[in-house]
Formats: sequence, C-alpha cells, structure tokens
Amino acid sequence: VQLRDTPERWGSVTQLLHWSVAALILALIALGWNARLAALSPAKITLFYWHKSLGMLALVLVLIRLGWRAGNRPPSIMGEFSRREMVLARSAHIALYVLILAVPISGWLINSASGIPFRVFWIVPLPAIVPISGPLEQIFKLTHLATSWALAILIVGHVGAALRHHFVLGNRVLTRMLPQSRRRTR
Amino acid sequence: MRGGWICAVLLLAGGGALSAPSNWHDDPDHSRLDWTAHWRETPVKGEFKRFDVSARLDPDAPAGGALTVRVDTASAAAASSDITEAVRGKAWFDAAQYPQAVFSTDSVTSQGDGSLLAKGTLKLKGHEKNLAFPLKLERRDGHLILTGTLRMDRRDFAIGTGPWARASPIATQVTVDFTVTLVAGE
Repeated sequence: VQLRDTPERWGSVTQLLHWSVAALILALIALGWNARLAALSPAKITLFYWHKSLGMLALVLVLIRLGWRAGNRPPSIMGEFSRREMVLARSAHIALYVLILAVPISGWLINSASGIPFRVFWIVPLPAIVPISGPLEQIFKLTHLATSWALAILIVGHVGAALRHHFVLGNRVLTRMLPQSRRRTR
Repeated sequence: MRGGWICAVLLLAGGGALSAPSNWHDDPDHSRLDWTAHWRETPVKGEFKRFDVSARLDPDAPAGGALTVRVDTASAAAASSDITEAVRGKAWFDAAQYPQAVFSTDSVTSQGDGSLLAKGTLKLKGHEKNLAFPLKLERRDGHLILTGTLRMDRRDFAIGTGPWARASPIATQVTVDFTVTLVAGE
C-alpha cells in the first residue's frame, strides 16, 4: 500500500482522509438539515449532538489532511489545460479547504455563543471560544448557513469536474483518488 | 411603681429573647438557587433568578425552626436562551400555569455532625411531595448563611412531560444547590 502521495496518484492516507471527510459532509448535511427542521424533542437534540460531534471530527480530519498535504508533494497535473482552467481549479480547491474549515468553526462559534453545554461524542467537553451572546449566536448561525450552502454548491462543482475529467476528458484525475484496482496492477 | 416592675420584667424577658426564635429573610443579592440537570453525561446548569426565603428560627438553636421558600418558576434560567425558554414552557415548569413553587418545612432537626435536616413539603406544578435534605447554617457578621443541596426526582412533579418524561436522554435526578444569606427581619 502506497501511503504517501506520488507524482502519479494520491496515497492511501490522502484518499482515506478525502473520502471519510466526503462521507462525513454528506452525513452532516443530512443531520443538520433534519435537526433544524425537527420540533423541540429529545430526537432533535440527539440529531444536533451527532451533527456537532461529527462536525468536530470532520474539522480534525481536515486539519490532519492539510498537515499531510503540507508534508507531501501532490500528484502532478495531468494533460493540457488552459490557464483559465488551471486558475479555476486552483481557486475552487482553495475555496473548498477554506469552507471545509469555516463551516465547522462557525458551528463551534454557534455552540459557544449559545451557551448550550456540549460534549463531543458525549465525552470531550467542547470549550467555548466566544462569550455567550444572543446577537453573536444569530450572526454565527447565518455564517454557518451561508458557508454550508457555498460548500454544498462547490461540492456539486467538484463532483461535476471530477466526472468530466473521467468521462469527457478521459484522464486519470478521478481514478488517482480511488484505490488502485488489483486487476489493473496485475 | 408597679408599672416600673412590669417594665423591668419585660426588659429581662426581652434580654432572654436573644436566644428565642426570630424572623429572618433572604438578601436577594447574596442568595442563589441553582439547579443541575444532565443530558446523558453532560451537566446542564441553571438557576432561579427570583425566589424568597423566610425563616423563623433561633440562630443559637436552629433545630425546631421553620423555613419557607417561594420560587418564581418563570425566573428559571440557563446560560442558553433556548434552554431558558424551554424550561419555562409547558413540558417543564409551565410557568404560565404554575407561577410559584413553595417549599415549607414541617420540621428542622439537628443532625449530630452540626448540620440540620429539613423535612417539608414542596408544592410544584400542581404536585405535592415530601422532601428531606441536609443543610448547614453559619453565622457571619450578624447574618446567617444557609447552604445545602437536595436531589430530587423531576417525575414527582411532572417536570419534563411527553417525550422528556423518560430517564434518557435527560436524567430524572436533578440537583438543587442553594446558598442563602438571611438577614434579621420579616
């Protein structure tokens, strides 16, 4: 198993982090959406508990991912792309990282400003990073909602671009983020 | 001259009254009534902002004294405005329907270790239940400091109805801590 990134493909550590964060984001959107809509009940609070716990897990995984990326040289660019495409891809990836950090941090800020006691996975008390304040809570809720929508839209673009590379351009941009098939390596 | 004798006897009796029951009431700025509930393992803390305590007791021999505590249920509050709003609502204290909770002692007895045992009745949300809890009385600069903790089962008073009535996720055991400064007077 190739742990580190190589010039040809992403290593298994990057792949594991990429796909686990991807799965977490989908779960987080579903949990957050349902928690928000549910009437006040134990079920609503349980949904929020899972949403917040998994959100903090995603934040940790993204930080590890950024650290790992800093210590690895990413695979080289494949194929010929226009300068415009390169700039677009690069900005989109930077925006993805910024939003993937901004969404959980704004969630943490909401929890801090609300004063609701919370333990990550019912174990680790989450420290407050801002004082309890109703107006701040409203601002952070709006920030969380706006950044979540922006992230969801970017993810749609990200998935669309990956599929375009695979099916339209026929390059390995998508497959280099997938586990190597044993049949092909044989 | 007979009147003078009567006066002297009354004065002596008055001197003797230093060790007789007298009236006391709380100093609201130096008194607290806090509650702690648990969402699974996470403590959720709150308070009652408005309550009054009146006592008739002899500070030198507090056993045999009497205490009455009146709590304004609409003053129940937590750090989080969401929790504050919820606990005042119908499922919890139902402050609109039951604005006041009253505890009055039936007996205050001395326990060997210098603490007192208060036994009495709590009327809360239309329910009445006998409670017994230890408390401590200290003299400080002419005031009395009353401290203690009581553990109660919220189900005895239908605090938390419907989906909240179960022992999970919100535990049925609730702790109430009080520190009351009593000053002389009605």
